[in-house]
Amino acid sequence: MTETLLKYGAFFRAAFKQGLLNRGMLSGLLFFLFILLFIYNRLWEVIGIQDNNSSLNTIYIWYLLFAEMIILSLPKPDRVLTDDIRSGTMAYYINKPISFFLMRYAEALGSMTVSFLVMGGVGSLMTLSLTGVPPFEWRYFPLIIIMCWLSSAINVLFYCGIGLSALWLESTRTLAVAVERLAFIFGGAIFPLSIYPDWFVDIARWTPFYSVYYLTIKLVYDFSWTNLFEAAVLNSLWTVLIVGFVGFAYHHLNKKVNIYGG
Amino acid sequence: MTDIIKVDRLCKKFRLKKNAAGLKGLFHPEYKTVTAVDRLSFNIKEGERVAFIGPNGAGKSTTIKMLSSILHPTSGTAEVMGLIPWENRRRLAYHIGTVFGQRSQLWYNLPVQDSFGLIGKIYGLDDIEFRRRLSKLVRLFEIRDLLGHPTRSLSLGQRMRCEIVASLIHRPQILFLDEPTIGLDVTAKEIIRNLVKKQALEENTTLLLTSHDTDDMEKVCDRVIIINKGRLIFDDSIHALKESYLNKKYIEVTDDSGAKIKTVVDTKTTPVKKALDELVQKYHITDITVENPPMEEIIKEIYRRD
Amino acid sequence: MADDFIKTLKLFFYIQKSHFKTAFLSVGDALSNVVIMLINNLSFIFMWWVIFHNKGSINGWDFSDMLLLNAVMNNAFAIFALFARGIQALPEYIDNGSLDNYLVSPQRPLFMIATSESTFANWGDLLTGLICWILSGYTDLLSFALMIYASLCATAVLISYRLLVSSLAFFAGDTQKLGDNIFMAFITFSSQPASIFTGWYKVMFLSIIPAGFISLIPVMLIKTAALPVFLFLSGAAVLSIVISAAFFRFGLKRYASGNRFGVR
Ligand SMILES: Nc1ncnc2c1ncn2[C@@H]1O[C@H](COP(=O)(O)OP(=O)(O)OP(=O)(O)O)[C@@H](O)[C@H]1O
Ligand SMILES: [Mg+2]
Repeated sequence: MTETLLKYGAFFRAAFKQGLLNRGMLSGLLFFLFILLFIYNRLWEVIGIQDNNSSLNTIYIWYLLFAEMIILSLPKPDRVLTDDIRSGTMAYYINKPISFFLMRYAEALGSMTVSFLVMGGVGSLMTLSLTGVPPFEWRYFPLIIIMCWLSSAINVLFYCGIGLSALWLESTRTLAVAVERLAFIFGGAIFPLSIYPDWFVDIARWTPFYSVYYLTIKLVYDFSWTNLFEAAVLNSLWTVLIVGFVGFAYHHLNKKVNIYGG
Repeated sequence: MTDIIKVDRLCKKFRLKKNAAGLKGLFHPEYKTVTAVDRLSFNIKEGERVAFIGPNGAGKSTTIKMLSSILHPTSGTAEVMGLIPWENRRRLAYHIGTVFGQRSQLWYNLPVQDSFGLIGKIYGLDDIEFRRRLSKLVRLFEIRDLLGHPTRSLSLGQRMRCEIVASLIHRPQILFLDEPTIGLDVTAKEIIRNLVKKQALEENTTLLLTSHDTDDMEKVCDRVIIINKGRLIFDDSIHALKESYLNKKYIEVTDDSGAKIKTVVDTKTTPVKKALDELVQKYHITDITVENPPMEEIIKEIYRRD
Repeated sequence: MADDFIKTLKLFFYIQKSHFKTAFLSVGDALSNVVIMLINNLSFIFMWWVIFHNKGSINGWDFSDMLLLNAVMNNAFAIFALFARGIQALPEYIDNGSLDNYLVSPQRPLFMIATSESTFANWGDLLTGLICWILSGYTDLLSFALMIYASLCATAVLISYRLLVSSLAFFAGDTQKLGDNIFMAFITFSSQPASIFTGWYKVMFLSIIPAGFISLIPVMLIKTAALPVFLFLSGAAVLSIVISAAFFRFGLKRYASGNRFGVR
C-alpha cells in the first residue's frame, strides 16, 4: 500500500514541479482569475446596493473564487489519455509494474494541485482585498480547502474517464466540451444554484455537478456540519460510480491491448 | 545581357540587447551590434544560376531577405529588376519567387492543389493561364500524384518539390532559394537539383541559391559567390573556382597488403612525377588514383584563408 | 482602384472557400462544433436570464439589453473569428518567421495575415447573435438596421484591439500568451451587463479596455437610435482602425529593420 502510494506519488510530484515551473501558464491563470473576480465583484456590488444587502459580493465572490479554483485548475487529462490510446503509447506500459491509468491520474492531480493552490493563495488575497472579509470562519478554512480539493480531484477523475471513452467514441473532445458545459450550468459555476429557479435545481440534483461543484463550494459561505456531511456523502456516491465506470473501461482496454497488442 | 540584380555596398547591422531579462535589462539596455552583411557588392545577369555560399552566420539569409524585400538594409543599396526591393515590395513580388527551405508557404491542411489555387488567385492569374501554367509545372516537377494530398502528409522531399512549384506559378524571372535541400536524403537532393536546373534552363530563370551542400552548387549553378562574416571573398565561375585550386592533387595508392595510403601533393612545390616516384619506391603498388580536390575541400580552404 | 478592390474581394471569397473546404474535411466535427458553440453561448445567456429574472434590472439594464448586447458581441466576435482570426496568430507568425511568406506576397500583408486562419465553430456565434436579436424584441426594421450597423462598428473595434495587442509582438519577444490574455479580458469585460461599470470604471471601459464599444454603446444606439450615439460609435470605430493600423505599420517597419528582438 505505502509502496503503491510512493510510486504514484512520484508522478504526482514530478507533475507538480513541472507545473510550478510553468510561470507563463500560472500568471495567465491568475490574470484571468483576477479579471473574473473583479468583474463579478462589481456586478454583486451594484446588485448589493440595489438590494440594500452589502454582503452579497462577499458571499458570491468567495463562492466564485472556489468554483474557479476547481474549474480553471483542471489540466486536460482527457486529451492526454485519448492521445495515449489512439497512438498506442499505453501498450508500452502493459508489461510494466504500474497502472497506466493511475499514472496519468497522478500526473493530472499534480498539475491540478499546483494551479489549485496558487489560485487559492493569490486568489484569496485578491478576494480579500475586494470584499474586505471572508464569509466563513477561519477555523473552517482548511476543511473547506480540503473539500474543494477533493471535488477537484473527482473532477479530474471525471475527465480521465472521458479520456478512456476514446475506446468507443470518435471525438472525446466533443464529449469533454459538452460535459464542461453541463458542469457550468448544473454546477453553478459562476453563480450558486440558490438563485436559480426551483425546477432547474430539481434537474441539477440528478447530476454529479450538483454536489461535486455546488454543494461543496457552497460550504464557503454556508458552512455547517450537516452541509459538509451531505456534500461528502453525495460526492462519495458519485466517486464510486465513476470509479466503477473507469474500472470497467480500463479492464476492457487491457483486454483489448492483450489481444491485439496495442 | 543586362544585370537583373545589382548589389552595391549593401550593409546590414543587427542591434542585440546584451543584458537579457530582468529589470536592469529593461531600464539600462546595453546594445551590441552584429554586422550580418558588410559592404557586399555584386551583380547578377539575367539567366545566371548563382550559388551563394558561406559558413553558418555568414549573412546569406540576411542578404536574400533584403533582396526579396523582407528586410531593410542599414546602408548601401540594391536593385532587383530595376526596383529597390524594400521600397517596392508589392510590385517586385510579381517578379520574384522565394523558397525558404526551413518554412512552408503551403497551407498545412489543404490539399496541395488548393494551395496552388490560392497562390494563383493571390498573384491575380486568370483561370486559363493558371491551369496551363500549373499543368506544365506539375509535369516538370512530377507531382501529379501529390496534388490531392494535404501538405502535412507529404514527405520532406515531396513537400520541397511542391514548395518550388508554388513559388514558380506566377512565372517569376528570379528565384531565391534559401537552403532548398536542407534535411533531404541523397536521392531527394538529386531530384530537386535536376528539376531546379531544368526549369531554370527552360525558362531562363535567374537563380540565387544558398546551400551547405557543395554538390548543390556544382550540379545546379554556373557561378559562385562566397561570403564570410558578411564580406564577399570569392565571386567567379565554378570552373574558375576549381581551376584556381587545381594545384592540389589527392593521391591514393593501395599496396599489395591491401593497405590504402593517402597523400596530398602541392604541385607548386612538388611535381606530381616526383611524388609518384617516391610512392612507387616505397610501396608495392597494386592500384592508384589521382584526383582533384573535392569541392568540399576547396571551400574549406577558402574559408580558412579568409 | 475599384478594380483592385474587386480583385481583393474575389481573393477574399476564394480564401474563405478554402477554409470551408478544410473545415468540411470532417463534416461531423464541423457541425458538432458549431452546435457546441451555440449551446455554450446559450448557457451563458440562460445564466444571465436567471440573474435578471431574480433581480429585475441591474443599474437600469434589463434582460432585453443583455440580449441585444449578446447579439452585437456574438456577431462581432464571429466576424473576427471567421474572417480575421489570423491576426490572433500574428505573434506566432513573427516568432517562427512565417510572416516573411506574407511579406513577399503581392497582396497587403495585413490582409493575408488576417484571412490566414478561420475557426468554423464560430458560425455558432453568428447563430447565437441571430437568436439573441430575435429574442430581444427589437425586431423592427430600424432596430435591425441599427443592430447590423452597431455590429459592424463593434467588429471594427474588436478587430482593431486584437491587432493592437498582437502587434506588441513586433516590439517584444514572445507575446502570444500576453496578447491572448489581454484579449480574453477584453472579451470578458464586453460580455457583462455594461451598466455595472460606472465612474472611473466606465472611463477605463471606453479607453484602455474599450469593451464598452462592443457592449454599452451599441446597445444604447439600438435602443435610442440617437444621432450623438451613432456618431460616437462611428467615430470610435474609425479611430480604432486608424490607431491600430498605424501601430501595425510601425511594427512592420521595425520588423523590416530586423531589430525586433531584444534578445536572440
Ligand atoms: N533578426 C536578427 N536579429 C539579430 N541578429 C540576426 C538576425 N538575423 C540574423 N542575425 C545574425 O546575423 C548573422 C547572419 O545571419 P544569417 O541568417 O544571414 O546567416 P546565414 O548565412 O544564412 O547562416 P546559415 O547558414 O546558418 O543559414 C548571424 O550572426 C545572425 O545571428
Ligand atoms: Mg540561412
